Amino acid sequence: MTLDAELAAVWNEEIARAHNPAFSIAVMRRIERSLYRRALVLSIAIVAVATLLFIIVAPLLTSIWRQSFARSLNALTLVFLLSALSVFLSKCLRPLF
Amino acid sequence: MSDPDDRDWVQAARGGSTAAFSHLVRLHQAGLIAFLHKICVNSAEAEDIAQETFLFAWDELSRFDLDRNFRAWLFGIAWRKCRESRRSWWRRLRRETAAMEIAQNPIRSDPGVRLDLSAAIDRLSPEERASVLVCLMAGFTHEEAAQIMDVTARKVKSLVASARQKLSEMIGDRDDARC
Repeated sequence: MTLDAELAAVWNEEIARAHNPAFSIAVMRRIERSLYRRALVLSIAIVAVATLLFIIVAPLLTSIWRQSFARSLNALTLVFLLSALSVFLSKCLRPLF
Repeated sequence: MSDPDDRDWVQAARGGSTAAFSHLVRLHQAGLIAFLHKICVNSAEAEDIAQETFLFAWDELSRFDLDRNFRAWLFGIAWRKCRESRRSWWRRLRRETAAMEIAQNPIRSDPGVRLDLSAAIDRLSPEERASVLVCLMAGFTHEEAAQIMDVTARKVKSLVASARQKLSEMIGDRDDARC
């Protein structure tokens, strides 16, 4: 038996020994955890930025609301618009993370 | 050159498919762990580095050049992670302990006694061992091995030749076929 043939035989033994079905599960679990952590951080960041923006522009929005839209739109419409804006922002920013 | 089958799975994984990446892990895990088992001190360290390799690959998948061999890329990451782990004092301590155990059980030099080839591979230097593993055992070309080990193809050829000679000396003369 040549050295190359013996090396091939040793490699095949090592491959058989290394086969572990639990390994890929462990790797994928770590990847899913990492994806979850990133999504969580992204959501917290978006909420924080949205809250900060809202605090900054709230007086302006209030004055605009009182002067122009208060009669035609109700509070529920405003909530809907803000929710839609949050969803839109999260979709736009997701590829960045 | 990347395996056409790998290329499709890599492209799907790049699109965010964890199922596609899981398939790639299952496809390449045995070869990668076998390589790391022979490079690292123990199987726990080997599996630890193998997991880190796949996690790194997942994170850096967008940077992978699809014209390259995906398996060779994984082996390259694993090899770099092995080198980094050598700098870790805790792993170095475990390695030195293992080396002392090997030194306490030297190779039997009785003529006519056939030494275990696997044990002989373990006694090569890390670079020689890696070159034997990737070129002669895992079936990579010298160019791919050079990319994996981050050295020139000429250096790989030299390492393989030196490792061959040492292995032949350790296990006894063989009717060697040249690489």
